[in-house]
Amino acid sequence: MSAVLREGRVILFGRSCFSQNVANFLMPGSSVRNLSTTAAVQKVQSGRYKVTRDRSRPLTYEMANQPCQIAHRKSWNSWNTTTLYEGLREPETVMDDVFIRKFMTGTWHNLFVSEVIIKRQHNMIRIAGIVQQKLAARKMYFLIGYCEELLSYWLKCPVKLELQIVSDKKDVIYKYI
Amino acid sequence: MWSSAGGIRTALVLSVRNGVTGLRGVSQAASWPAGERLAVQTCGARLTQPPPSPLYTAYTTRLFHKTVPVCSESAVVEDEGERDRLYSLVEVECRGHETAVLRSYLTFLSTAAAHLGIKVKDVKWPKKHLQRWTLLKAVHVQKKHRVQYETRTHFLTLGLPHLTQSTADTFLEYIQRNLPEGISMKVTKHELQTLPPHVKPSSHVSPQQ
Repeated sequence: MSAVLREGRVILFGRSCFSQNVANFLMPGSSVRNLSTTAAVQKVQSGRYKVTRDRSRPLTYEMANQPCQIAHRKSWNSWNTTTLYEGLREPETVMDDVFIRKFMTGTWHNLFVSEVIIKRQHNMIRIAGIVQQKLAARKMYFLIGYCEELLSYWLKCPVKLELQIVSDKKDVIYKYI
Repeated sequence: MWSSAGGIRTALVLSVRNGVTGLRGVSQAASWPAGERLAVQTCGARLTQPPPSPLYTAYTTRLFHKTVPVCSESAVVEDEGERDRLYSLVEVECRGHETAVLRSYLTFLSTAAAHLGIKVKDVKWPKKHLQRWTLLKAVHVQKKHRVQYETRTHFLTLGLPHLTQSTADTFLEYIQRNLPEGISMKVTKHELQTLPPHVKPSSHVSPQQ
């Protein structure tokens, strides 16, 4: 049995001659559980998915590329000028984006197969994403109008939804790991 | 000299209508050197500035014609409003995180300017601005393990010389409507204005040729 912690590797195994003996007072020959630790490894874990034994985990292109690939093989999910040199309103924009993402994934329950892309141009917010074709067209139109209307009232600016529909969820899968 | 595309405000008409209050220029015309025919632009109820003294043409614009002023009751003034401003230079500075987007935007901008006959000069790419953070990687202790982030802001500057206000407004509005998300623009307009009336040439200054 082994357990990997963030701080370091802690390996538990039955018998060993090289580990620190937890129970030193026991007679030699008795079964002893030992601990062995390494120094803090601090491995980067962000945005990385573990490989499964039978290669069954599906990954979209976005998930398959790690955050270090942003601006190389990936682009951003939020497009605005707040992060530029002498950009304004950065923290408020971040909170607005968090709210928009929660709202969109909640309203389109289990329907988004990509990330919610938020683009800001002048005072307009354009929300893009790929949605599954599980709903009837009428319901989709209603949801689009509902989202646009409520978000524009909340965020005090015009909001436009630019959703794309994919018939099969498997179409956005890039690879299996 | 001044490129103007559409909305040309060339209403330089002298009106002898008594009701017009903007006849200040006419009364001052008598004091101007003989031989200079001045046509004062009427702006409905208000006149912006009197014609400039010829001594300061380097800093002002020649806002008068050397033609006989047309006196007509039914003179049509093209735009009842303020006089069109003249800009010696309109500087445009674009900032973005990606050079490819800036380059493509420059292509769009220069093509649009070429179609409208607007000259684009001094296309420069100033040095990018880097903002770096070195933060602790872990939530608690582990001072030896850090993570570094960097933000790059690329700049693109260009100038549009000698535009009228209407041209500049039209062109800039078209440009800005098509500004891609993630690109910011800063516009600096250098306007040419006539000197205020209380600023008179001093007696020590010799008259220009």
